[in-house]
Amino acid sequence: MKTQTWKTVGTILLVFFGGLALVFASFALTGFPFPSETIPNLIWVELVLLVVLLGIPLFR
Amino acid sequence: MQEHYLWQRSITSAKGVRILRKTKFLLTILMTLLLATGVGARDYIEVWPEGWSEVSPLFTTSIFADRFFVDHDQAGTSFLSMDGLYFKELDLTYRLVRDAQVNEEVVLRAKGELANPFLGLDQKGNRYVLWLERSPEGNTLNYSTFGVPYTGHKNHVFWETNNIVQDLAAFQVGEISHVVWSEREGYFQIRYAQIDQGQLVAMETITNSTDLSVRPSVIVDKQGVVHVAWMETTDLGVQIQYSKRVADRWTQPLKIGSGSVQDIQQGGSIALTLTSQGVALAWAALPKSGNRLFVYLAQVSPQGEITTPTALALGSRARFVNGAPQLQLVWQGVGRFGSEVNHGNYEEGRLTDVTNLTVGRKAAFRPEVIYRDGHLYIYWLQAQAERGYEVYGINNQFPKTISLWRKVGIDETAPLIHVFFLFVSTIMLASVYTIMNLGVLVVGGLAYGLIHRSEKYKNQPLFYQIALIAAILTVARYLPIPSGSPQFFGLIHYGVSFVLAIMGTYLIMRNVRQRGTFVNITILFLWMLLFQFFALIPQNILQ
Repeated sequence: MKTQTWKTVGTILLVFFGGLALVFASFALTGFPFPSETIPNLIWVELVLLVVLLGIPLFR
Repeated sequence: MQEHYLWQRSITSAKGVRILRKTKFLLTILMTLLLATGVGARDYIEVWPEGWSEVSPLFTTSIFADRFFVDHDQAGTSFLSMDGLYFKELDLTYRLVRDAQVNEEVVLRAKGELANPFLGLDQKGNRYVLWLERSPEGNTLNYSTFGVPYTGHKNHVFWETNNIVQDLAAFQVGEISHVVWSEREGYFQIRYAQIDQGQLVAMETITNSTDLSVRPSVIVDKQGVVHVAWMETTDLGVQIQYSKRVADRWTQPLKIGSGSVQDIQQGGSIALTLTSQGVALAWAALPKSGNRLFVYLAQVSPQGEITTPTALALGSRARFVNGAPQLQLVWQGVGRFGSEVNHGNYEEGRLTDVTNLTVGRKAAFRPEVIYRDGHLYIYWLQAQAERGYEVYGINNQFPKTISLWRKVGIDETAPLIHVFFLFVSTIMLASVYTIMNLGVLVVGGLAYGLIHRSEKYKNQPLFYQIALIAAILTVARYLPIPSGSPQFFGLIHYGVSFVLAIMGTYLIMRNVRQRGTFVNITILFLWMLLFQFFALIPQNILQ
């Protein structure tokens, strides 16, 4: 039980710090991002992703 | 029984002490590590433009003149500015800078009500200086010339009038100065003069309008054709107009686009440069659906064909990089902490590789640029803490070395403590943003609950469920529900945050065997928290 708790805490820390490290890696590779205007077509990309995800179980 | 209980308690207490000691030990190590890395990190980071040098202060000046002038030749970089603390007692000062040191400093005209300085250089190393001077006796347009090293100069008045004169601008070709200004003779008209080695050889009036013609700019092409653009304030607004001098006659003015009274009030002017397609013009104007100045660009072909003006970027006071092989612009942009200086390349009707050259929280304004030995040298003004304004410069010839920490936005002097601070502040802010998105979570949760009623969706693996929740929540944010989102930092960072939030939620929830409403709600909140956390990182770094 105790080991499981430590494992969960470890996973949570890994997710946050590992994610932080990956975000830094993306900055190092592609340059530090600067604030910009939201892309107007982003909603369509996200809608397509949702439709694709909804479609996957139907064709399985 | 009692003894047994006490024995048990003493074992538990001993365990507790051991755990506490262990925790204390770990915390001590962590604090030592954090504090040993530096005395303390700043709560924000200056993200340095990559490929650019350190910013160097050069000299103190004033902001009474609309601009300072800078040019470069073999002798060094020459500056002409109007210095002083009172607008009626300004010093017209010439400086020659070599290796970031002021080698020569000459006050060409002391304690006068001066405006519109111009500095031109010829191939022989001569300096030509023009300026406008106002006094109760009348207004004068002045001319001076001298060489390098400086041995002396004499000021000449080439035009004297009781009319109101303003907005002097000039262009130097060899020993000839092409000068334009706005003069009120009934109405404000644009006037043109040619000065050859100090002698006035031509004096013409370009406009003949009952509107106000102000803020002229001038450039001369290789064929000797003089191109002039100015701002015409009419009852319908401000127009950008253009004319050229062909066979000693000025062509009928062409309307290039719309200008802005706001830009005129702020001392803006039209930047001109020669391109393979003719003449390019850049100025600041308000877009039809906005109240903030944008930099506009249009081109005029030798046949008089005008391209539609394009709004390029938020800002004003654009300057072309004259002499560069590609059309490039430097302008006073609008940043998080006020005005900043931006540079960008003009390609196919838009700006690319836009860079903020000014770092930190101090506003930078009125940029000037020179193209020197294939590199850019950009200068601007910044307010001094004491008083007055300082000229600062940056170049891309001697780029500053940027550490990996700095590259990712972390203070290199105390990286661990900055990362720790960033982590804590981001997680707190992410929690606030998650609460702000409660409406989105409820709507997204209801939609997911509806979909989940179908067995086909219910029996999908956990990773699919999380991805579906993520997609539903991102789409639900566009619905008219009160919500809050971090600033947008580009598609790459958005995508990285989206994917990392899915992966993170999966990693944390993968060992949870139960599946039910409570777990689904946890997934919804956890994904939102992680997404906000990763999306907020650059915003928190810059704050």
